[in-house]
Amino acid sequence: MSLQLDRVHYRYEGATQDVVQDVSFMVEPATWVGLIGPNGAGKSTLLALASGVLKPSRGSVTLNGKSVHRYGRRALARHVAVVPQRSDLPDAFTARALVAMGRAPHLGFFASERPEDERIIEAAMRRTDAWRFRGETMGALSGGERQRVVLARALAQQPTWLLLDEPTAHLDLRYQADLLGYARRLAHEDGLGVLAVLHDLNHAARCDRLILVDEGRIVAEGAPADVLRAPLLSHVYRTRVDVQEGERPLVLPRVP
Amino acid sequence: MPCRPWFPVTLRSSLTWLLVLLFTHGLAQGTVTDDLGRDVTLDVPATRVVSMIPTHTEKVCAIGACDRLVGVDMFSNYPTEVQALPSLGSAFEADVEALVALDPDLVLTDEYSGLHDVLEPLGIAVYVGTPQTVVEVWEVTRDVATLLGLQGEAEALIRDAIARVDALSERVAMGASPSVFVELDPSPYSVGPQSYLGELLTLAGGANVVAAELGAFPLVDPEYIVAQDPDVLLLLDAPFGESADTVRARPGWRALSAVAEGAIIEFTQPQVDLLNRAGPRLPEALELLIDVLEEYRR
Amino acid sequence: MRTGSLAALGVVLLAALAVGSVAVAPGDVLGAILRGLQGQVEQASDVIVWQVRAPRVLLAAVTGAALALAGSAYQAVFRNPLADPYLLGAASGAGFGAAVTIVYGASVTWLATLGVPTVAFVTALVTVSLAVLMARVGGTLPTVSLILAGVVLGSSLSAGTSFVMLADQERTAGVLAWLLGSFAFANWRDVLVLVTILVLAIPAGLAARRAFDLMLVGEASAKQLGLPVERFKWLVVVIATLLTAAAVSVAGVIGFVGLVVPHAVRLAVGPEHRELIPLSILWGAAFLVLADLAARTVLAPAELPVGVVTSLVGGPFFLILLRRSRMRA
Repeated sequence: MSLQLDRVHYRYEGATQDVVQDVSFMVEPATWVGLIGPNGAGKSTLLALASGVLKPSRGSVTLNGKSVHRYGRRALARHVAVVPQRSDLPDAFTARALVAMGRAPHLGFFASERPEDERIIEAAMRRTDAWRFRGETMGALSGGERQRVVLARALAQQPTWLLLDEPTAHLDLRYQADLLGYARRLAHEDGLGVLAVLHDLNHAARCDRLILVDEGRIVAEGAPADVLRAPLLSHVYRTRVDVQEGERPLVLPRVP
Repeated sequence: MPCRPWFPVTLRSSLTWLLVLLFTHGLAQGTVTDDLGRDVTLDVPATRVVSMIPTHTEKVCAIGACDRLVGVDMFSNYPTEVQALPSLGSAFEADVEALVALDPDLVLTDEYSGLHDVLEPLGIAVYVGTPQTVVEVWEVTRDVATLLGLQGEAEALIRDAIARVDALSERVAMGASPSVFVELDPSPYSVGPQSYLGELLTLAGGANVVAAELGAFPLVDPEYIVAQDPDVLLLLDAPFGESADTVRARPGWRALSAVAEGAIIEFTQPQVDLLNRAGPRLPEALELLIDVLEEYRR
Repeated sequence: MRTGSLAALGVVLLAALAVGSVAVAPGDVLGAILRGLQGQVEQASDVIVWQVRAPRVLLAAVTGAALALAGSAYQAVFRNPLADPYLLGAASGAGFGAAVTIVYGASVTWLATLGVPTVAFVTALVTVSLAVLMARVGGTLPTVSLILAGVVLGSSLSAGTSFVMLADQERTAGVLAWLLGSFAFANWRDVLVLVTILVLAIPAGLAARRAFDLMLVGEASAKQLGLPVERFKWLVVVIATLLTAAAVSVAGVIGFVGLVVPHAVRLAVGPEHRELIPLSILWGAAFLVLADLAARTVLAPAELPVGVVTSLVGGPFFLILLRRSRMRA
């Protein structure tokens, strides 16, 4: 079982250059993989390719050996869930109603929610500590609470793979810590394959494995201790970086 | 009850006569007050006239000044000789450049065209007015005649027309009035008794099922017409596709007496023009109405 | 809420059948309905109630239901609060077709033979199809291009309608009356046409409640939640266009219902389509029946164009609702 990109290229319509060039990697269940790299490196594009929203210009994206584009939208959504960087959340929806959307791929067109769905919704919201504000409308929630609701919605899809696009952006320290905790536990305790685009390299240091991309290519891949190295990061990010090495390296940009 | 239709008819023509006398002596030579309350003055009678409304065209020709017309609007088609004149579009969308190029000294139009705002700064006299009632037909005819210096012709025309109207009234003095629904278009818009066509209908001995309080051109609820059950339907929208067949197909209208009796009059386009245009052919319009209602007068 | 609304619609329908410019005793109204259902028309009041008034009331109801359903669908799918059933040009297309038929029907016999409803239906479908064709990229329908194409086509056709109206001023009042909407000559055939389309569209609309909800979180997220977004948009555009074209062709361009009824319902019960869709259908129907009742009774036996009533009365009502909900929040 795996979610696999094989020699993937991607070029936006009308562009003259590929934004993703010859990228191959794999996400296994029960692993937390971090996708890092400077702005414009192609991280979000890679996530969109992995979730089947974009179709590669060349190469293939496969889920359990079958191209993601051979799956129907509903079938794919039962395997892969996405927490987008920014999502439009209708203010008047309650948190619970929003999480209930995650059941859509499991329900027939005409079917109503079954008791089983209600159980799954509650479990997903409890997993992300969102159950206590289930009755609040989205408009009344803070940024951190909203992000937990969106994560719960992804879990309600009961996916095997979870793709997170900068899940800690715009959150304060506590919510950042909470969210990284959920991601790790979902991988290690629930056995999900988690692929997260991460901006903060010290957050990335918590992952099981990192993929560093630059200008649409993978420049390094491996354990955080192997990828987060000062010379490599200084080169890729075009700025001097200090790294305190260890199993969980600590990255500090040098302020000129 | 022979008295009922006879009395108001005569009262109306008498009133008309009274107004005729009042206005004959009321106005200064060459100056008239138009429908917007503006004084229009010409030092010499107009010789190059543009008419932007079909009724004005008919009036000018009826007082014998057809040869003074240099241009008309696209709807003016009577008398036929005006069809040879340059067409200047409609009153609402006049071809102003072509109009000015004709060098007219008088333009006759209606109160909504706004042409007076454009033309008067250019030194062209503009008379604005459309007759909405029988009396106004004579008033406006007289105004136009004054601007053309043909008051005598106008008086003769009016005297003759009123005499014909009075003579025609004799024909409807006897017999009960059939109830009539006049349909202007299939919405259905109709006419109230105070409109020009409504007045003609009354003069022709028809009892309008539309009451005066509904206004001059009301949009009428079809169920009211069904309940009124008129004896005769006058379809002024027949040139646009309405007919006895389409009326019969309307929900509930099959039950109308007029439908059962086949008392549905489909007017032709020239007849509709004749009926709609409040102008010098008023006696002919009245005669047409009297003719079509003849067989339903008992 | 749904049962209550259904009952309210029933009461509104009965009231509209009982009241009109011609007074009919309640017993005769009931009798006319009972006899009418058995295909019998006996007395004069039967003609009024069953043949003239009943199709009119029911046509107003099904038109209101169709417009409110199409409006709530477009508001969700295009995620645009200003979306209404006429967004893609259906009304302007129908208006142009109707104006041409009314004005030129006299000289072009095949136009007159087809009649205003058929021509309006066809021109509405053609206009929306053109908008869709122009906006289409491969198999997808980008929302912004689609709305722009619809609005631009609509403006061009409205200009065309004005031009046709000015070409023959004697017909201007007729065209204007059609554009403002009317149920004056409603007949059972028109009612049947709309009922047939609604029989397909209402179950589809109710079933698609979750899909409509998903559209509210954005097209990319909706895809990731398992909705085949493009296929769904096509389906909605096709069904809503059929509904709108049929409604416009029999009743003229009645504004406001498709825009505001879904918003009013949303203010009352929230944005979830499980409630929003059925209640919009019911209240769209009730609102238009009441508007038509007002149109034919306020100045009875003269009529107001029903489109004037919907906007004149509906506008302030909606603003009050909006204001009150803002103050509560």
